[in-house]
Amino acid sequence: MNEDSLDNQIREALRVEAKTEQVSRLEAFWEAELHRQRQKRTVRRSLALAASLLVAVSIVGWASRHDLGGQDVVEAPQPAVQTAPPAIRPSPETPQIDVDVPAPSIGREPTALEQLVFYSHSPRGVDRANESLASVVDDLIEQVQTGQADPQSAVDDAAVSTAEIERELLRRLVRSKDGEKLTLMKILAAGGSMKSMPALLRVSRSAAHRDEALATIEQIVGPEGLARVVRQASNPQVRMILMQRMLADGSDESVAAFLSLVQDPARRAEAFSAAGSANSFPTETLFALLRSDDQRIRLSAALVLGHVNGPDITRKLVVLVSAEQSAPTEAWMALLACRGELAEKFLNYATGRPQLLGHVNQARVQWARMNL
Amino acid sequence: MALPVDRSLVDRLVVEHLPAGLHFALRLTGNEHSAEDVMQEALCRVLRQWRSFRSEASFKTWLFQIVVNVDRDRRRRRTFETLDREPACPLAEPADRLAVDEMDHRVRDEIGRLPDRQREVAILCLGEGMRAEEVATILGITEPNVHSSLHLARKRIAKAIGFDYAPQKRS
Repeated sequence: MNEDSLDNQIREALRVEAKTEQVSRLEAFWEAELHRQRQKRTVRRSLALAASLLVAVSIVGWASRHDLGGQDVVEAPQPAVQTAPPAIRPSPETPQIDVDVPAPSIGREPTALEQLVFYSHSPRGVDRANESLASVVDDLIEQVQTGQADPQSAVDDAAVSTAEIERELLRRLVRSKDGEKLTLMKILAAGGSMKSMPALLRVSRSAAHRDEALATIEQIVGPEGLARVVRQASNPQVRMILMQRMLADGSDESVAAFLSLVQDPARRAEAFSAAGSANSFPTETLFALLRSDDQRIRLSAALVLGHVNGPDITRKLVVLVSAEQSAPTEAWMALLACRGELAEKFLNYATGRPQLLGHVNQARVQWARMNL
Repeated sequence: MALPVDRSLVDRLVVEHLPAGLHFALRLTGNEHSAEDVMQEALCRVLRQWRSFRSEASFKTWLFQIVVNVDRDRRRRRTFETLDREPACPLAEPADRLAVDEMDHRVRDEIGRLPDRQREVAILCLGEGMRAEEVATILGITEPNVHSSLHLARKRIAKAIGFDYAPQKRS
């Protein structure tokens, strides 16, 4: 055999087919990124404009002060004595600052507020603050690791704010080793916020910590908040698991949040796939949501039920639409989407009954309008 | 002198070349989830680096360069981080395995085991059907290097599948 036949063999082996949903998902991703970048650009421009305005106002202010100074000199020829402005009394919350005795200065003494500002900008101040934060977080980790306190009470009792603890935990999470990572995630579950999502999603990309990271995410945002996280996640496997967690929770809120993903054309295929492969499928909740006041929720519940279908769901839909004359159109729509002998038999029966035919036709029109 | 391009042109070209980029990413990674990840990262880089694209260059070549770089970074990271283990045989999902014949599997297995450079050259030359000149531009190597890498890749694959490989004489 020659080189050409080997090349043909390799070409054949390298033949791949990309799914159209994948391409459309990527197109949606590209659109979203473009939109995000446009927003960023607008914010940057606004900030630049604000900064320019600030500089202009400062220059004008400085120039006017300079003019006034000149007038003072003319009106009062004797040497000007600089007097310190009244010191600002520190508020009770103002931290006690250990300031070195300054060298004698020809200018006025800095006010308490100025001292605080200078101190907060000095590297020593920042370092000390970081050191104390690090020691607080070290204590927290030790308490949780040794079981002295549960993460929630340890975070509540800590001497620094939850936001600062979160910032320090996220900084450590990236470089931490396996055991410590788990502890950090336990504490984050108690004191984390949406700011933790990017870091936790990054951790979830590794199969070794995926379950813990996703459980932490769920604890922070709740099952109903997972839809927002799904939109941020770039890993398809992670998105799939998050969607299945929303379904497994089964509450009205979390299933409604899942349905918001079904309403999004960019996520619909993945949402269907997650619903189809979910171990725990919230059939009862979806049936209840067929009667929701929100039409989008009713339609998306019908879409999911119709997509998953199966004999159990079909039977329940048949019972619903045949028992109630006022059954929602969406239940008929779900039934129309069901495949299987039972659904087919019932729809044939319904088309021969004038009192049911209207519902079937209405559901058909609704499907056609949705143009799916 | 190379001219900078209009942003709207880049936006249009991205959408136009998205399927080609995805196919290439699929061949490189051998896994549809990873291919999508690679393409998403590549699109983010396109957004950051679109000014470096010159209208004289082929957009496809430029996009493929980015995809190759993302895939290389990903592989490098994976060496250190032990990310999700992908199947040793790229391009083959369990369900698909039943559909393709044994020989294809062996060839795919071997392509997956090739060193990065040889694998990239084989995929670009044979999978994507690109000319050596384009492949050299994408991978940042010389044309003779492309030929030698392709030769080595063919040799390894032929040996693995028990193929009696006789290279053609080039004029």
